Amino acid sequence: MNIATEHTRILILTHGRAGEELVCSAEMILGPVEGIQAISLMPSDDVESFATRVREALRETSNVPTLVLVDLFGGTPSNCAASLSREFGFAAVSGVNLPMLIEAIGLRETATIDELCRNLQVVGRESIKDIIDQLSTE
Amino acid sequence: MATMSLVRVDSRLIHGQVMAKWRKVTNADHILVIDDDLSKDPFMSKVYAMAAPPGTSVTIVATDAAVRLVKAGELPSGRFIILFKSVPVALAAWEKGFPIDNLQIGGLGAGPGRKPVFESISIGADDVVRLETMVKGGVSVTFQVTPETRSITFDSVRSKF
Repeated sequence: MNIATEHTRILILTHGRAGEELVCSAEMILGPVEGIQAISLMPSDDVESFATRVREALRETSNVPTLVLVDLFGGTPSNCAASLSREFGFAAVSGVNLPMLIEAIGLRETATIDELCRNLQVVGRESIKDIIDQLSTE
Repeated sequence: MATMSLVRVDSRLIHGQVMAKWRKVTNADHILVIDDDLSKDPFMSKVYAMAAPPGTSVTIVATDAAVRLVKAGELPSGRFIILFKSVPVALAAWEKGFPIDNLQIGGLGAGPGRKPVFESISIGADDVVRLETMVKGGVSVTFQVTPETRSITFDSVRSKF
């Protein structure tokens, strides 16, 4: 089996195309990355058609560990992930930002999905700093 | 006593930011979701309760139970946001005696037989007929997605069908 397929797959669910663009931004820094898919909830989508697309993506990755990253906790992509956790096994973390995505891509080859999940919550929080304040304290 | 601050149809029911905004403008402390299917699904009820703005209590009940609670005056005192997943559910509750003075259509997605009528809201001809019934019965129906965006009346939507 190809080792790469055993890596944790990352599925990003966002309001609008933020997830797709986040992948582009990560690739700008890391170069091309595999095993990542972004599904965008668009204004014209109804909840069911969005859930269907997410379900199909999860079905494709059901044989590999999957990490779902969503934007807003409690938003429709987040609620969709929560509801599909009844059908599929995956980890899911909200508040996705570029530092979290880059960390996830870097760590997924060595970390278990639980470690990844814990780590991303820390990285997401620690990535937020007052730059001007940092300048004055260092 | 219980006050109905907002009665809204939104297929996404409770979704974080939008509900947080409506909670802010209505000052509601309770969200009452009226949905037969959801009331029988503890898992999905938990998903929606988790998505509610902090400090808001969420109750999910079947249509009959909601009507009974209102008629018996058993809703806790406070300001309520009432949510329905679809127009048929809202109509059924209203026909069974759930009081609705103002109904806001806030979020209904696209689908077969439905057309976009206002911002991100799509409805079908069958929904127009249902809303017409409610309007004739004295319900004021408006379309509005978020508190910051404008609202339009049912008449301007009906003219598109």
